[in-house]
Amino acid sequence: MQALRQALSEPIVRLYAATAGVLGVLLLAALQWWSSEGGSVYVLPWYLATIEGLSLLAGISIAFLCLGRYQAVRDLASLLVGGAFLANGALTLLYILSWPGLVSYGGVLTDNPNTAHWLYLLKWSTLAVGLLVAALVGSRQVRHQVLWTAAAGGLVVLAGALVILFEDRLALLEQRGRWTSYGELWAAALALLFLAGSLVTLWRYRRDHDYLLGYTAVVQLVAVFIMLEALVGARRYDAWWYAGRTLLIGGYLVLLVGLLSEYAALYRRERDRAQEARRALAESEALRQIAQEVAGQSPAREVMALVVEQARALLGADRAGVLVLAEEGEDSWHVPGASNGVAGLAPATAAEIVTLVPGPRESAPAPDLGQLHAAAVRALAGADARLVCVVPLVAAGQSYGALVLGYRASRPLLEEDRRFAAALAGQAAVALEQARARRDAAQAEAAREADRLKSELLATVSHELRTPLGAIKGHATTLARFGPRLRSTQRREFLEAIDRASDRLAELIDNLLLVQRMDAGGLPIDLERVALDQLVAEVVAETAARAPAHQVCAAVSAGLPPVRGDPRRVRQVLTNLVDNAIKYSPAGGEIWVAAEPHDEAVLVSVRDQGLGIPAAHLAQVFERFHRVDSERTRTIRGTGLGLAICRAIVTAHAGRIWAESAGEGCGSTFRFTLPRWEGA
Amino acid sequence: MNRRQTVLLVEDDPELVRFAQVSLRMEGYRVLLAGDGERAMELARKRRPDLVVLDLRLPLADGWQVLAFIQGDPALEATPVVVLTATAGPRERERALAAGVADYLVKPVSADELLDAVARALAGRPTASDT
Repeated sequence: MQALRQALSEPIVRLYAATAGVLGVLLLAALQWWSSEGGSVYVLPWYLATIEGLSLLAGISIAFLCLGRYQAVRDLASLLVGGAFLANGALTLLYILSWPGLVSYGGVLTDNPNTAHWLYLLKWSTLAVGLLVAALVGSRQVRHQVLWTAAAGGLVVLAGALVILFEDRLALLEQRGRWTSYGELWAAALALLFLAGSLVTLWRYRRDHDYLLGYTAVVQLVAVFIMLEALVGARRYDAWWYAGRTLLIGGYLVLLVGLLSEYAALYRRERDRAQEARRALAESEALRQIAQEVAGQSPAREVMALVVEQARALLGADRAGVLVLAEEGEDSWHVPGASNGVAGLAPATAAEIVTLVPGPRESAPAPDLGQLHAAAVRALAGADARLVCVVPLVAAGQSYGALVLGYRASRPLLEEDRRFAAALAGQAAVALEQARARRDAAQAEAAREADRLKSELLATVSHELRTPLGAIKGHATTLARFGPRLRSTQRREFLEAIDRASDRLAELIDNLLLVQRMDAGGLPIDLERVALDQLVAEVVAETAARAPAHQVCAAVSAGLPPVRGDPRRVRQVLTNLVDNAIKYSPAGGEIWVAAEPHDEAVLVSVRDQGLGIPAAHLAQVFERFHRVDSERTRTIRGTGLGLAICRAIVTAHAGRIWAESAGEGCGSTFRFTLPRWEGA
Repeated sequence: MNRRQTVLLVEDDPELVRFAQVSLRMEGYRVLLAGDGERAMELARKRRPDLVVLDLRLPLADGWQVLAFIQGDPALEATPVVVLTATAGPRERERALAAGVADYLVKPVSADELLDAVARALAGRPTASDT
């Protein structure tokens, strides 16, 4: 039952069964008619010519279709069936031409009805033998057998010619419209041969599913029916006679339709193969391109873009994206091209979700599909996807996320689709694995660098703190040990040194804490309108008073716009820079403080005639504890934090600070910008 | 002691020079001052001090160069060297002791500690660092 249902699911078998059913009904009707009317029906003189003409046409068509089939399949069965029908056609032609009154009054080749009967039985004999042999040899493969077939066909025609030439010596097959016993014997033999042929054919069809043989069984069964007319005593132009020949045309038609539908299937398969080949080529090209990007260590984002583009192009997805599961925090969703994004449509929660699990060779732990599905649905939320296809990204035993494909309409996912999707996902996973490895390496490197900087800073801070501490302890213990023996001026000098070192220590600690807070972004900056001209004047006055040996001058543009800043901090920057200029200038040196409008900002410059800065140090002077080490700077004390503080303050004001110098001994200029006050 | 022993004090920070100079003088040493590495090497060659108190971070030539110079000069190789530095790292300390310095003092040091170290180094006794 199961096998029958399976067989009936094939379209050709369905057609076969339907035709057989129609033939069966026709047969039953003919039998009914024949039994009720006593077999006598109207004489239709044109009927025989029409039927035989049609069977000639059908036979030749079948023969050529079968020989064409042989060209493609190279099986002996096609060749034999084709040959049998070719011979049958040739003998049909001879039969038509020899039948008196059919084409001409007395027959074209002969006027002897007995000869026509001989040719008639001969043509059925060749068909019966040909089909039986074809069914017996089945779909055995042969080559170059056409010549043999032609030779056999020639022999058959020769036999026909011999029949006509020696018609006087032939035994009688018919007498007064009835078959002789000799004719009945031959017909009975033929009926048995056809019956055997049809049974072998059906058995063969069942085994090999060779449609051609299956269809010939119909023709053979009809031939059995025709042969039976001789045995049941039917005469020309009675019901049995009409039914047999009409059925024969039906049988031929079944065979023709079967062959033609087989041709159609062949064309379809050929077209599918060509499509498959094109697709396979496109897929391998896409994979090659992606693999090249992966091998070239392209950024994961670019590889994802390519993967999504190919998924859309070759898998026909309406929506596609790569879902990257985050190690912590939010998952990210790569959908290159925002216009093709996934926003603004109906929710996808009703969609059917298909998961393409990676092949068994991936020995990865199964990714958490529930999590992937939830994430995919979230990612496609807003897209009107009816089918969501989730392809997990797995590389080196690690699950990285999924390639997510959204389809507006439900559709079957073919084996090739799955394979290609898995290959795309594999490439994407490798790209993500590489990107993660690169990122981890960079992070480890950055962490090492930060560690190194931290311990370096710690060593520097420790060194800077120990120096004033050394002065304090040294002077104090010297006083304690030798106090009474020291002169009072020396004692005073020592106490002053302790005082200075304490101040320096306190300043150092203050500045360190300040810089630390700025780095952490914890330095409060209260932005307000600051009139720089006034501020510059005040700072110049204060610093000039502290350094009588230097000349500090201000040069402020008239109508200088106010800036946006924290007046206390801006003053600190300016004071630091002027103090630095004084410190690194020889006595009598001039220091200019200038302020002028500069694009959307105000530019402040502090210029000195001091030691200058070598070009290599221009950027580094703003680093903590960075000092230009030279004989002349050695004698100048500083905490090494002043410029770092200046930079932190200016940066917090969204300004820039930099140093300029023509080199050592040429003086230097420190400049910084502050944004203009834009408010009312 | 037959003659006043000479100590070469190599230190670039004027705030630190003063107390060491006064302490050493009060203890009876003659003190030579050098504010940078080149001056230190020059004085060591010309005046052949009995002991060198050496800072490691110096302008022109650093303390390591001065140490190498002293140890490389046959006339000076027996001269004890006491390192006095603000660099507290264990690596520098090991490097200096391996190079054969008599003592390694990390700032801040008291006058007593400095004078003890100098006296021990001059007497060739085991130093505080060895114990």
